[in-house]
Amino acid sequence: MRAAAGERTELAWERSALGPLAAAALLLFHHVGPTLGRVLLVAADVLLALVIIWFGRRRDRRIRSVRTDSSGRITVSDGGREVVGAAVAATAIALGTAVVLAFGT
Amino acid sequence: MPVHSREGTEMERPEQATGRAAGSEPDYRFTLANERTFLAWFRTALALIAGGVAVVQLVPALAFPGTRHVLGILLAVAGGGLSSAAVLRWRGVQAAMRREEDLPPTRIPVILGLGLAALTTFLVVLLLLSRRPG
Repeated sequence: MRAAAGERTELAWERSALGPLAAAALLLFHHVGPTLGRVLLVAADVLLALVIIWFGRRRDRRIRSVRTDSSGRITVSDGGREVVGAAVAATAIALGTAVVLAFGT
Repeated sequence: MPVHSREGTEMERPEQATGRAAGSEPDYRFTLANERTFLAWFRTALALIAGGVAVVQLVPALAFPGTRHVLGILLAVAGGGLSSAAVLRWRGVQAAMRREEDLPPTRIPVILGLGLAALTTFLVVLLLLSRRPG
């Protein structure tokens, strides 16, 4: 049960890595915005995808080492660092994308 | 008393749950379900960002110059906003589960749905206006 839950959660993280990769591929499709900004954005997208995959692995390892509390309940840490880190990075990339697209007008 | 059956080792009886100390970690399945819900919102945010790039890169020129870029920028900013909202939602749900309270209501799905419907209608109108007669 726990292994399956960990696997589902890791897969959910890994599916999330496809989003920035798609954005990076679309940025390379045509020339939009300044070249430096576009290259930096593509690099950031690819980096975010790798970090998300790493977060998924990290969460899976942590889920496999769950603990039982005093009441007999099985608990796992909430993954706050991964959640906040991924969201902050995505927000920064979203703003960077908006800037690159704005310079492309 | 904890339940000792195969399934019950990971669950508590309802009467035991009511006596649980406030601020305790929820069952691991609820924590993971909350995390996967966050990831579903996160993927939606990333899709909005990628959609913003796709509108600029792939959609043909519309009737009004600059419209594609404005739409692309709006989608990218919306993706960033949704990513932040997803974290706040995840945090609120996790805190409510720790306190064993009802989950807080959210308007994010309604706002997102209405926004996407408005965007789709706007794009259809623009594409129709962009069609050349004959």
